[in-house]
Amino acid sequence: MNENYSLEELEAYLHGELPAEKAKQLEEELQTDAALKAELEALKISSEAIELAGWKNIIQQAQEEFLAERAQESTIKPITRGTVDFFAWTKRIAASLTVLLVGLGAYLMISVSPESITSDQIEYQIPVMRSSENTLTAVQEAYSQKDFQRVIALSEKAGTYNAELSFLTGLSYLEVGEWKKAEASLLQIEATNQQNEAYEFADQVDYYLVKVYLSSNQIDQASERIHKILDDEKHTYHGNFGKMDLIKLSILKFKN
Amino acid sequence: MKLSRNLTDQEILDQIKSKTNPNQAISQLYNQHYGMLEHLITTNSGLAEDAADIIQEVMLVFVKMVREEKFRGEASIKSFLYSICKNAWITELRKRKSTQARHERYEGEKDQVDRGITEQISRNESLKFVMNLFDTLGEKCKQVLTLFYYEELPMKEICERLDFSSEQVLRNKKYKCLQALTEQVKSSEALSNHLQKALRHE
Repeated sequence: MNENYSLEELEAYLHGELPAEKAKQLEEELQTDAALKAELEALKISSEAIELAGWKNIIQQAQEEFLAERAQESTIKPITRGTVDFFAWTKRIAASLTVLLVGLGAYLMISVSPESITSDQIEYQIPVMRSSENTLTAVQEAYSQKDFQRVIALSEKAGTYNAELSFLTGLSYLEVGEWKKAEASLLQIEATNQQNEAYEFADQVDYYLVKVYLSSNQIDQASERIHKILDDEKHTYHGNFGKMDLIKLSILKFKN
Repeated sequence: MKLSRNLTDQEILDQIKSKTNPNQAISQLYNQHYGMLEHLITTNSGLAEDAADIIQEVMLVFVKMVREEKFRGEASIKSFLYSICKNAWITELRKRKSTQARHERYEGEKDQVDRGITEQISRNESLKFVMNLFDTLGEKCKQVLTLFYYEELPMKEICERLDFSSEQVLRNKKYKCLQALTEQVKSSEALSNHLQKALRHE
């Protein structure tokens, strides 16, 4: 114990509360007096340790409570190991995804219908050109007015093959639900094209045959046509189908 | 069942800094980070028991650094606790295995944050030693000193709480208790050696 300074004075110095003059004097003595320096350091570390002992009590108590609670939880639920458990979280995420996938699967199983694959596609429109407005044939006119029965009647009367006529007839049969006849009209175009090495309405035929096949529940044939369209990047209807449609097709096959 | 919301990192720091409801802040640290810290130790050749001991040290270092404003939330509490735990565990392994080569290599890789943390870990080692000396004091001494240095209560309130006849009697008691502790600290060769080592960064 040094003779010149009391513990209270040294404490005051540590807290910056010693009068300036006395503090300066103390600092000067600290340079040369090793015992005084040791005294000051002992005081400093003691007061720090007393404070830290208070924190240690809180920390010990929190740790005991946490470990006891965790042990209790693990007896009730032996699978969970801790609050931050990577594997537990992985399992939770996997379980959530499974529920989502099952839900999505169930939704698709219920909601997917043949129509859903082509439901958001734009219907065929007869190209309208300025010069052709007045020269629409009777068939074109009937089709434009959605008079599909008239299109069919006019087509039956027509004697010679015309690709456009066959195409509009096929679409009209599709509209009135006569799938077999719709298929026949469209396939006729395809056959004639092959014969003449022509390409008239070829892409449209593929696309509307998909509709015909889906409508008549001929899923394999529809699938074949969709793959043909998807395989040909230059196909007019290439962008009309995607992977989701192939999934829907698989579901439809499963449902059948 | 938890009814109160979780504190933010900043709120935890504020509560520790100001000693306002510190139990809540510390409990939340345990709930949120114990699993991560335990995993760090148990996946690096430690046992769950080692983890329990080290994590207590980690919390003490964390509290000390927050109180002394050596950590003010520059990084997230999670990553800071992780760094303390990593350093504390390496220090412990070093003590156990005396792997000097590993120590030197690791020392070279340390960044500024790690250096601050290892200094505090070392300081806490000395503090732990003094805490043990403090533990040997009489019960009344421990109460007086805790209320003064940890609770930071004014003399008048301590006087009332502990039924001292006057503030002067309390002052004398506090003086004697503190002197008893500092005398033990000064005469402890082990502590003196440790402090010397710490100064040499060994």
